[in-house]
Amino acid sequence: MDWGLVLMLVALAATVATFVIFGRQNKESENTNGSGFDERQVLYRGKAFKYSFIVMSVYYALYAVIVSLCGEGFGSEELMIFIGLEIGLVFCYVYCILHDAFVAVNRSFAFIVILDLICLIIQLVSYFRERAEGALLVENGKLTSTGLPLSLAVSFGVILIALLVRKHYQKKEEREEA
Amino acid sequence: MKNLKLKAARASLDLSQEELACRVGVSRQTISAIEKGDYNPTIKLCVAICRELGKTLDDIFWEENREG
Repeated sequence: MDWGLVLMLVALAATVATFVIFGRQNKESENTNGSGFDERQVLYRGKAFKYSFIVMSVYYALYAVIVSLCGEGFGSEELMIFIGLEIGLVFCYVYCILHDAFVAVNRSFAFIVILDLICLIIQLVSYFRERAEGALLVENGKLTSTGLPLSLAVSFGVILIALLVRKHYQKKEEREEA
Repeated sequence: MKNLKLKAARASLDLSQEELACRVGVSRQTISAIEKGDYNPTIKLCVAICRELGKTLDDIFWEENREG
């Protein structure tokens, strides 16, 4: 049996199990307007989208300048474009996490962490599998598309770290409040 | 500007931020931000908080010493 299929089935089972155990959301509050997020969270999420669009645009502008000056980029075209999207999304998520606007009201924190962890593990396994099959990360001095799962793993890793750091500070705040 | 009235009203009912947040249907951090003066809530949320605390808007959100 192809072990890529096995990996996909395991990931699917883990995701379904996470949804069953943690995904149940308590009844919707009238102060979340059907979105699951309260008004302060919606405000910060809006800001996060705005700033992440700017960050992503700056990345593409810089990349375009580098390519026009040097003649070529640091990696394959699709990888560098994808990294731009990832930078924008990770910025958006981290901004939301740091402003306590990432986890919806009544939603389990563990649910988000486990889902992120599953995604991180899948990407790492996928990367090491490609490497084991002989795919090169760098070819002719440029990053190849093999770096795609690795860059995704880094993104999920950054989100995970931001979640754990924020949780640490939240617990500290709760202790001080008590 | 810190909202000490909200904190006092919550404490008088022996409610934690988490408990008040749960009753109002917002996150604990939102209640914390309102108490610290970091977030200015909408009138809808102010009313919901006042209802849970059994207070009026004046009791919790009116700033007596503010000029203008």
